[in-house]
Amino acid sequence: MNKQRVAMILMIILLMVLALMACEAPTPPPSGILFTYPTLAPSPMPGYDQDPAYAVAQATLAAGQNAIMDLSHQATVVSMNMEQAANAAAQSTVDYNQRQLLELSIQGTEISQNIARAAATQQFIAEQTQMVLNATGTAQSQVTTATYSAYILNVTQTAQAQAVLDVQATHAAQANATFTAYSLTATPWAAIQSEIVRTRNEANRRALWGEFVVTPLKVILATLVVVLLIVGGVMAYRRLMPVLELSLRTFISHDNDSPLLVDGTFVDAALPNRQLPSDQGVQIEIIDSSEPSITNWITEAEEKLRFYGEIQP
Amino acid sequence: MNVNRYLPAARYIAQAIPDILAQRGLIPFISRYVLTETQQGNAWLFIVMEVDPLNHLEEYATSDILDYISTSLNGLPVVISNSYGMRYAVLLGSQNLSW
Repeated sequence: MNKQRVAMILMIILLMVLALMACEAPTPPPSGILFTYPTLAPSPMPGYDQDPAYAVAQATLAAGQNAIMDLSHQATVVSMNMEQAANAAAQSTVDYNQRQLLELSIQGTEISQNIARAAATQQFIAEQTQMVLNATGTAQSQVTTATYSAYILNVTQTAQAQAVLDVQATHAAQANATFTAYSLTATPWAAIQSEIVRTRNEANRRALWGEFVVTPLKVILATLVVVLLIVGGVMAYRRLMPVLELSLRTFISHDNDSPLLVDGTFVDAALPNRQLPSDQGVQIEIIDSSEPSITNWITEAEEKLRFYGEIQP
Repeated sequence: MNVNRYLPAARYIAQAIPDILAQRGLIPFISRYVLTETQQGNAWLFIVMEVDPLNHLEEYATSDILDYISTSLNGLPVVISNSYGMRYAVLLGSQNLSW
């Protein structure tokens, strides 16, 4: 009874598996996944009476197990493939990044090389320019020297030729002409020499001017100033000393004891008949009007006073 | 006649006249002062100036100077006397003055 029930359950399960298999069989396998249809290989089961359905079921079971195993294997493979793909993708990303990094490093290196190359080029160009300038200056100097040497040689040859051909008098004229032409040339040496000659001439002119004009003029001016000071002092003394002397005399004689001169005798108003020195204060002479000179003075004064009408005749 | 009564006035004038001349820019070349009185009672003070060829005495004899001196001496009459020298004559007092 139990066997039959177990058998029935197994049968149902097999039928369900077969139905599932039948449902899955028409779907094509995904691309890229290895798939093989299972082959039904009936395996004998000892101890039981094998009927064809069981065998079929067994075969189907075996086939299903195989298929499940295959599917599991395929899933495992797919999973592995997926993992590998993921790893591959990550690896490719890492590789890509590393490649990018390498490329950037290469580019940086190239740029650094370019910079170094440019700096080296600039240095080279600068050195070349300096060399060219030095060479140009040297060449100019050499040209100048050569010109000057040629000129000197020419002058020397000319002088020698003239020395051979001319007499001593002609020598002097030639030397003079050579010196004149030499000083008028545009060479630096000629310019320096002409500048020296000009400076010497100017210094000589200044020396002559200072010797014959400035120095005597200074002496004359100093003498004139001294003379003017002396004359001014004398004139000031003559104009101012009387005033000063009179002021001093007036200051001394402010007291009321001024001496008086009465008829040729110095007297004091406070103390009559007192003899005083003649140099003290204002001296007033009292002279009688009968003195001839005084009479004349009085007559003249009264006439003028009558003329102006200020005194009665 | 007592001329001594004119001495204070004469002393005053003698002390003031140099400053008066100096105020007008004139140098007081004064040599002496002479006080006298006539019989008619006129008292004169003569201010005798030094005569020097270098001095321009005509500047001392202008009417402006005489008026200035007279005004400075409170209106006393002042005249110039320039015969045989040069003098200022100041009339200190008179019995017959018109003013």
